[in-house]
Amino acid sequence: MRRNLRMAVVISLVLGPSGVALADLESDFKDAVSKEGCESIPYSDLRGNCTSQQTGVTDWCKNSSRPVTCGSESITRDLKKKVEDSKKNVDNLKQKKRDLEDKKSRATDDKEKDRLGKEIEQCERDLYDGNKAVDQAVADVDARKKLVEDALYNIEKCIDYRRAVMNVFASAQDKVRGETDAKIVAFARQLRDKYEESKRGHEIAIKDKENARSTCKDSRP
Amino acid sequence: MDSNDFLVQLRAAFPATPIDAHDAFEQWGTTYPDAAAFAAQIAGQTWESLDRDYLVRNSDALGFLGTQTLVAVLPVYLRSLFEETVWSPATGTLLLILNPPGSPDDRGLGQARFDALIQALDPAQRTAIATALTAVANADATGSVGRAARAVLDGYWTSFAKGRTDP
Repeated sequence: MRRNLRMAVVISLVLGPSGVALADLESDFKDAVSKEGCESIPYSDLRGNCTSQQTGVTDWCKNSSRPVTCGSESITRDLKKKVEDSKKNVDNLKQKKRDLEDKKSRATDDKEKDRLGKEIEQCERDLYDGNKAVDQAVADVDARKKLVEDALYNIEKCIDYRRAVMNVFASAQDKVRGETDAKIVAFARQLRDKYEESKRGHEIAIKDKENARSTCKDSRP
Repeated sequence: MDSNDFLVQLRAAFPATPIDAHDAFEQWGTTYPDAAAFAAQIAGQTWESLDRDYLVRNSDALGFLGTQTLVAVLPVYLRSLFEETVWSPATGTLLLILNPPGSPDDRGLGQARFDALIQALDPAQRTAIATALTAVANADATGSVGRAARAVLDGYWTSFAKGRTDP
């Protein structure tokens, strides 16, 4: 520690304060060219911002406990149809029971009355199952609704963080473009090209989530 | 075709050789923030020994990977696409990168990278891609994901589907 401090004092005496800054900048650029991800940004403020925004990407886009897909709109359609069908089935069973009760009340033959009574009992059992099926279908739609809303919330966050990361690299690209110092200009050019080449990757990641958001919005029950 | 049949197809198309992850992102994606972690995950592994859960959750890497590495890890993603269809976390990214350039809202690899990918794939590998896309298109025929898979198929890959001849 003391040795490093002595070294810094010696360097600043030889080069002067601006010389030290330039030596640091040159070293930062040299390092950045050989590195990947946020570490490929030579400016410490932008590098720190990139790392922090990427933590958000990891948390909101890649966290297995947070859904970021709704599958397909057809899942919602099928679930809603199941609710309609199961309700229709219950209505039909209710009508059937009413008809049977009506027939039973008008029946004069005991055997016929007994037979109709058994049919009514079966109809009541079917109705019980039918109502349970309605409850289950409604619960499935509710669960779907919750998943879709959760996914939409997570996707919005994910897109925000992904855009923020891409914007940090865009700022870094603008900044390296403006570098004119002879000692770093070659490194700056390499970095500018690296940022340009990998811009597509960020755009694809954002487009993927924009598409997922659109599917989720169309999946709302 | 079931999952086992598709696995047989994948094994025949993609050899289980150790992946060289050195410079995996050098070609197109040095700004991928998870480059080091992703490269460490795949280095020296064969595609069958890769952690599928990690890979599909990090499918954003596909937009940044160099062509050779992309082909090396592709079977893991195709398997997920075939088996999980619309529920795979990687489906959206795969549909974008496999979409041939030129569509009005093209936000895929772009012409140069798509051409490089096609050049790097042999016919059996292209057929495996067509099979996985067909699985998604059939599983979600009336949904937007299935329609997107059908459009990607029709845009380039359908001619490689089993039983079809090369274009």
